[in-house]
Amino acid sequence: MSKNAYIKANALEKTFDGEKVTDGLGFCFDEPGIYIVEGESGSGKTTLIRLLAGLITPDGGSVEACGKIGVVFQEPRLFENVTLLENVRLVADKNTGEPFGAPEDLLRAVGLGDDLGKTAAESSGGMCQRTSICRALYYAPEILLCDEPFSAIDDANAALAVSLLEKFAETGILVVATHGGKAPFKNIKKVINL
Amino acid sequence: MKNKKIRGIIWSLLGAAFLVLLWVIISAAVGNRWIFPSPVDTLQALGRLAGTQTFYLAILGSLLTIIAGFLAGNIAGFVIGVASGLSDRVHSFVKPGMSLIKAAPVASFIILILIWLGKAITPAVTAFLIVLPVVWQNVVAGIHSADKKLLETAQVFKLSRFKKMRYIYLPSAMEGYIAAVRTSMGFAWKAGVAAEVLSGTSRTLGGMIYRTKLSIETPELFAYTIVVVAISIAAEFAATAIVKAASKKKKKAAEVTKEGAANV
Repeated sequence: MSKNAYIKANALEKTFDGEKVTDGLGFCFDEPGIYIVEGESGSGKTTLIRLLAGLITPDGGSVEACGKIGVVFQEPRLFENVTLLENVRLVADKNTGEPFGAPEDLLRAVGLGDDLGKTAAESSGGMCQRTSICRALYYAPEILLCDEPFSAIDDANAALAVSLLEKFAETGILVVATHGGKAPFKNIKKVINL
Repeated sequence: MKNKKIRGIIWSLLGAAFLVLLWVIISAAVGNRWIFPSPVDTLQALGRLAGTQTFYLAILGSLLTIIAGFLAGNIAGFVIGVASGLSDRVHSFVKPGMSLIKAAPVASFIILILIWLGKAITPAVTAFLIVLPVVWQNVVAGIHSADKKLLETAQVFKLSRFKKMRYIYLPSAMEGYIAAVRTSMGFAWKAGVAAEVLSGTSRTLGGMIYRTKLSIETPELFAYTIVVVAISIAAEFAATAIVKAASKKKKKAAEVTKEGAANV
């Protein structure tokens, strides 16, 4: 990770249907580690992740980021008729390193070693969600934003994914949105409550 | 599910039987085989035609010309459709031309092509012009309905234009295209035969229909019409099956390649 990587929210405001979902929120994550965004359903976690990823623009305030950003969406968003392996592999670009090994190694690490050739359409929601975590890691981001990344994964497989994400957080900024009680990480650097 | 399908087939057969019954009643009421031949008169005429070489040459001639126009219309419609779906400028540029082709009466087109290009090529060009806007419109609609969430994912992971095309736009365009193939095959066939009739081409179904008009051989006209309908239905099914099989084979090939790569 670049030593300068950071992501910063300045007095963020976003309104949906007349309701403020982020009201003057501000923080700065500028060191490797795990940052948790906690809140009930509808509290604005997904909106915050999308704001940080630059997928939507705030009504007020700003987001500043330095570093390559990857996202694990709440729904896996895989290409349905493509194998799990290809879904991971296709995010490769000339800047993609392999800090976690090849796509096959990543998928094996989350228990999908026997399913590399299955298409996303043939795979369960949990398998797809684990694949989407592998895809984001293979992209080799410096900042990884995860929106409820374990919602469809059983505890045993979630533990495998957690250990990969914890390894990422040793050198990268990991932001995980969760609805409380389901953030099975050690060494959490900061918790933001929405 | 299976029972529902069987019930659907039974109702379709009943519908077809009703049409034949209507045909029998009307032909009996008219009582003149040269104005409205009965199913028996038509089958006898069909039997006579089936015993001649001209009949088969006419079918072959129509198939070759109309399918050539259909294929050219598909290729052009798909390519222009993809370009229009991806670029608003191309879409706006192409739209007036497509609207013109769609709205203009087929007969006007046929006569103009006949004057400009001659009768030999008129049925193929007519089929091409009938197919082009249908395929174009469906492919554009397919691309416009590409999954927004996948496009957002592509944006996050900065996927190249090629990858967006390969993984998002082309599968989406194919869905629209498959829908277009079936519809446009029927249109191409009907318009192509109409062009053959108007241009009086020899050794084609339309040309033979034109001759029946000259000799007032109405039973033969009915027989040729039945042949045109039967080939149209068969061609629709064949075209849809080929496109579906090709897209399935492509998916399967991609999966096998990836599995092979995974095992290396």
